[in-house]
Amino acid sequence: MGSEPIHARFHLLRRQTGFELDIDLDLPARGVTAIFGRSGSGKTSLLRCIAGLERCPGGYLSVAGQPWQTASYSLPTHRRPLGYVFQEASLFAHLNVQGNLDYALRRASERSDSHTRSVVELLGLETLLDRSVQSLSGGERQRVAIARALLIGPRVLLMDEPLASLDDARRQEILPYLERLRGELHIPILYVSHSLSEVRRLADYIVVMENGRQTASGPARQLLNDPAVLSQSDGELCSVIDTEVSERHREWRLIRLSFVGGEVWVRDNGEAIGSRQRLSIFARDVSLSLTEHRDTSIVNILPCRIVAIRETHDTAMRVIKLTLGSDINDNDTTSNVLWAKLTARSVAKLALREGMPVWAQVKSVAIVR
Amino acid sequence: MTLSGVVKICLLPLFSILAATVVNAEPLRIAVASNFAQTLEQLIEDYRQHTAVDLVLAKGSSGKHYAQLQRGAPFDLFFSADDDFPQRLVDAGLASHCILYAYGQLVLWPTSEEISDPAQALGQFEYRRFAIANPRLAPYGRAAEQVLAFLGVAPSPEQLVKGENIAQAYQFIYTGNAQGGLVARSQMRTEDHYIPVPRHWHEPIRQAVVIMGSSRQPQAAAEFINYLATPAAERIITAGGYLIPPPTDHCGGQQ
Amino acid sequence: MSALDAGDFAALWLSLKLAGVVTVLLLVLSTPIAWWLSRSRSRLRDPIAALITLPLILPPTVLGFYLLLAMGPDGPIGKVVAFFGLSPLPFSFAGLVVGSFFYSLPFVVQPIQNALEAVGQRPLEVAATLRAGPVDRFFTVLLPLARPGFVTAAVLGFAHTLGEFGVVLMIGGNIPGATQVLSVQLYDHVEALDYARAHRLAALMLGFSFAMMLVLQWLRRRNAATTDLGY
Repeated sequence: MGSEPIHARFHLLRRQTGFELDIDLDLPARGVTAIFGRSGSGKTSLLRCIAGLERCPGGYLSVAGQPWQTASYSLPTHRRPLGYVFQEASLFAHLNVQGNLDYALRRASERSDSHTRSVVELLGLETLLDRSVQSLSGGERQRVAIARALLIGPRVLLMDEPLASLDDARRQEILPYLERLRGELHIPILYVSHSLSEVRRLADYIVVMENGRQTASGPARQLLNDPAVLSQSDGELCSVIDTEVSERHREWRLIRLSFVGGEVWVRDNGEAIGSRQRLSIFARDVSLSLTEHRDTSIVNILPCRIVAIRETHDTAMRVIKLTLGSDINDNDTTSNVLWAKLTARSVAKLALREGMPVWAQVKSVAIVR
Repeated sequence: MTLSGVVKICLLPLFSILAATVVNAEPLRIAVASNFAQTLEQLIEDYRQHTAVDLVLAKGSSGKHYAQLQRGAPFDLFFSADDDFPQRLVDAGLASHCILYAYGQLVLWPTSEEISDPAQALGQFEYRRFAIANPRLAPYGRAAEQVLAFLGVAPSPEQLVKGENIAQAYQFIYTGNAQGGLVARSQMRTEDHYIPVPRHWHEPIRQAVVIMGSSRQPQAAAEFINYLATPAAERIITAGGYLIPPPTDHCGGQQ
Repeated sequence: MSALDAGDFAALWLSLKLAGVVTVLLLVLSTPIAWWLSRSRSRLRDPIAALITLPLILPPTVLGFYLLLAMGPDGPIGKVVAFFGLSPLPFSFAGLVVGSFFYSLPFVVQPIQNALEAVGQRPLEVAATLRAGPVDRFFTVLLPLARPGFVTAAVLGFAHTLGEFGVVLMIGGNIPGATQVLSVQLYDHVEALDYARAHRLAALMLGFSFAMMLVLQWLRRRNAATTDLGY
């Protein structure tokens, strides 16, 4: 696939509801782009415009260097090489699982048995092929829907909150499949979601939407540490750090995760050495000290520097933005951000100020999954 | 309008019905074959000038009236389009005084100005569709069939369209879907061009009336039947397109 | 039942033939109408829907009378028919087909329309994202999913045409083998006080209608059990 980005420009006004979509975006040609925002922010409308399911006269869209919509024409949906996974599993009720997959295969741009097998395998459908659609669980239906969308041979995969209609257990059942997709597909995935935890886990790039407009966009690592993004969800302030497994300590059953500006030890759950893992650290789990305490049970103590001290709507609390690493330049774009949430009293007592080197004690670290 | 006003208006007909009942006892209830209804209304209008009796009409096909009268429908008089149904009611002991009140007259309709002989028009029989009443159900249909047989005309099944009653046969022609037919003279309007069919081409279409055995005012009913034999009544019946039956003929006559 | 005479058999056969022809015609022509009604936002939608529904409440004799006028030599349908050099419609089998078509139209359009509306837009959108063009979508998604509605429509259209009376009475002319259908024959038996023959035909129609409605109930229950799914 080309490395050309997806370029989308849409302006849509619904007179009945007063809803307005006004978007001008460049999205990466690879990886998972999360389109993130509250319900009603226009995420789904954007996806439907990209798919051509929603008419948006005057818009412009090109995918992988091919114009799908220009001022003079717009490809109908069935001529756009895309895969679409709807919020609710939209399998054809008059066909069984195999029939649903065949529906896509018969219309696919190219067919290869090995590709079909690998998709079936990727989504764990081997034992489901003869089942009727009605007999599947919600999670199984959604896996079939994803496989069907992949078998058509898309140039881009559009997923509209594919987990939203599932309960938590089903969601946990599907997420590993989505992660595998992210690792194995070489096409861009646009993933609409209002769930911060899904976005944290899957996104490489994030577009934040509010009232039909893009309010922020950028690489996930940057945006997930942006309070402006976090305020879009009711989630707590949380730092996200991309790491690599660098060492395994069998006796303590810990693995070491290294990243720019530091390293942490976390519980060993069998992650492969050298694999990429994404960490999340809640701001409330981070406390600061002026010296490196040795007499503490806390395992992970990281040197860092204060970048900013911000007030919050809770006047008793302060949010501290830190750069990890004692000798890292603030302007280094590869640097990692760590958020800490302290009482105003502690900030005053320790006389914390911007630029000060401090030690962050991290009570709890979690690999995002 | 106030609520009480609405109530008054709604109740008004009810009061008048009650009042009529009190003054005149019950009205005479008459079941009448549709073809004679219009003439009967004129008769009643004339009759009311002489008496205080109230009469109400129920129009319908003779067959339906018959089926209902058999099962005790509350009527005092039954004006049938034939004499078969009344005779059956008499035979069953449900009615009495079967009397012929009119002979129906068949006409050929429509006809052009130059044709005056129905035998000529029927003999050529240049009709794509020719409408008659269903001979199985309607006396006029039976008579029409006799006329065709009398003249030796044998239309194909596709040519001969049959209305369930004489009114429907009329309708087929009126809407232009049949080019001609044998219908009742009583249906003709003054502007229509038609030729009466000679009486002797078919058996008389005997229309008979009976007094129902269940009547609570057989006296009043008998008085109305007597009125039908008055010259005034006979003028109205004749003007309606019927003939007055000769006194020699009677109910259930020559079959 | 053994004692149906030739006339009754002819009427029975004619009724079945009429109902069969009309049902096929209705299914073919009602589908685009129902499709349009279920999707259109046109201002004409409601008046046309009302017009199609009219036979539900209109006395059949009224419909029959207007058809008789319209099919007559001076009526609009009659003029069109004459223009194409065809024989006039009243008192012919073709005329009954046309009359029954209008008379049974709502009974066929409505179940199909309901079924199409129940299928909704989503499966068609799904099919579009799977590269299915409009015609492809119609035959591979919409028709199979709306099938229960089509079955209901066919049963209702057939049964209703079979039992039709008023319209046939008005435009039929009671010609044996051409327009003398079962219900008219039955009516004639009743009017002619031939209650024995009437009973036989009436029992036949009653039994048949009951069987049809039973089938319909059964289909409905079966569909209720199987149509709940992933939409």
